[in-house]
Amino acid sequence: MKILIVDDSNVMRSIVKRTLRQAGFVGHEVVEAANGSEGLEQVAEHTPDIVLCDWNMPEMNGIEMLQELRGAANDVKFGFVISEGTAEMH
Amino acid sequence: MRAPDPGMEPGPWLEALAEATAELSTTSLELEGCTIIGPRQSDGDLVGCYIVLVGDKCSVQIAVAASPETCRTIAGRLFEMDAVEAQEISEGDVADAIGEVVNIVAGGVKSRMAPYDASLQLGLPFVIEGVIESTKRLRMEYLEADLGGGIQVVLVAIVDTRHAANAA
Repeated sequence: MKILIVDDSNVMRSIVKRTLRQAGFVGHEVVEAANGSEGLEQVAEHTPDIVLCDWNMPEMNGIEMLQELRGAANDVKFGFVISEGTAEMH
Repeated sequence: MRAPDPGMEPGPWLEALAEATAELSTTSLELEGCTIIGPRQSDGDLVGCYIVLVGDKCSVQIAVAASPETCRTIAGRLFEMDAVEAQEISEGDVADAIGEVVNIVAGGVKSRMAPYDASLQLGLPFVIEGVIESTKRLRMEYLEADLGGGIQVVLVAIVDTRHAANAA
């Protein structure tokens, strides 16, 4: 499986990778991006099976990236990795 | 005995902070937990990463403080680097790492304190080096804790008592 992790925090991407490993996701290819715009480029280049994405990021945030993907009829599995919820996330 | 009021007293927040830090220690840092060494008078000249939790009933700053060397060691563990590699981590990435540590433990504190105040919201973490001076309206408490792996930190809770008094 190919996993794309999108987060502007370098350390948070490391934490997500470690959490995946601790959850038993070992031996999968992991690709990284630092914002939604880079994430779209990585989706086009690597065709990941799932995207794990931060919400707040510079240049293009997570929901904008998801809207771009769905607008382009890309139905890649997409999950947000966030520490708290706000009304706009619902 | 009277239960401490989280709107006026740091104790319940420090207890929640210690639990959340223990959780982080055993997961993201792959360390041994969080053993409380004892109370401390201040965070001295440590580097502290603070974040505010504000709700209808309370306003509280919590922090994890440590020496600059320990902050770098924590960053190294998050990046899965050994001690030599960790020396190459930029100051910005060390600050980012400590910020994420506090962000994660603050999420744990928020969920643990939700039964007291379900409206709690997290602010953004910020890093301070030096001593925090108290004022009459603030109550501050510090706990020294050992996470294992030679990592000792100071847990901080600062309660704004006037916020709670105005809410009452």
